[in-house]
Amino acid sequence: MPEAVIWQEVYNTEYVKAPECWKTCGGYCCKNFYGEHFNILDKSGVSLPLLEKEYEYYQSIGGIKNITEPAKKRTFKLSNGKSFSIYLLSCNCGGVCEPHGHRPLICRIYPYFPVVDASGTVLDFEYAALMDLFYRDPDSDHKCTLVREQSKRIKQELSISLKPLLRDPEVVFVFRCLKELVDRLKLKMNGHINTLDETQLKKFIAKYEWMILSGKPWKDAAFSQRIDDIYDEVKAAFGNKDFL
Amino acid sequence: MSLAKSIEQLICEKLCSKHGETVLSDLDRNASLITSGLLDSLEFISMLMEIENSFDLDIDFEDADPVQFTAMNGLISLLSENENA
Repeated sequence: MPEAVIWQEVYNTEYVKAPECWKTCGGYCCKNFYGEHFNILDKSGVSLPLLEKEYEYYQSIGGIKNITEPAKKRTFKLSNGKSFSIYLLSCNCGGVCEPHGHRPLICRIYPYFPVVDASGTVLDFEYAALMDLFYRDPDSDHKCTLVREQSKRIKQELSISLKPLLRDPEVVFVFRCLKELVDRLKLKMNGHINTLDETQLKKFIAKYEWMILSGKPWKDAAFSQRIDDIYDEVKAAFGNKDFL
Repeated sequence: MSLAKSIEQLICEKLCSKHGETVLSDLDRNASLITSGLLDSLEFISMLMEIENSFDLDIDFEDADPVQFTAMNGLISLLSENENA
């Protein structure tokens, strides 16, 4: 049965248990390690997406004090008339967000997001940060220590701790869309950042910025149809009730 | 009006609506509109999408140099290339 997420519970849950892992990587997850090559995106900030209801909760508890820039709202319209919005926070806290307990879901589940079926069963995991998608042999080369050394444990724990969240069809829908989105992006980018020299890396990141911001990889009828299909599949799996 | 002029007008309108008309007098047309703080990344992309829709263009900067296309002169030059060809 569908159950709406209780965001207070989400914000009280420790999804990835790895205290002080940042000491081993310089806080990779909270910094824009490739930002020096960015020309359009924020060179130092990290973009954090929040679902609409998550953002409402985040706001209600006062947010993160040292994120001062207002969130940017982006609304996506499905061709079946439904729409959903996400809010993008630009975070420059570098890992010292205050209060730390107010950090968004995407930070809490880093380094992964779940790949799920229409009913919310976890099938696999994908990298939660877009730049992380472009490592060759990530299990050995990744800058995140958890990916390199503890991926099995982290994935097992996430499979259990994410279950309550995945009873909400909207969350399932968004994770499924996210998987489609990153698959398209990977196809378009077709490269690995850890195999490129400085010049190639600059070109790769210029292309990446253009792809992300223009939305070109996802602007076609086939992608729209796939998103509509995902909506219908999730709706069917959750008792045929509209959820957007 | 040429395409280049029309695009320039649209960009100037965007900048003026955000910063007031005086912005144009100090504008470095060869500097990035983003790093100079005139537009943020989302505003810049929204403006490109508006140009795309207004002038029925298919903008593809996949292989373009961002240093060029984020500056006003470079952007106008790239977008009006086809018209001049």
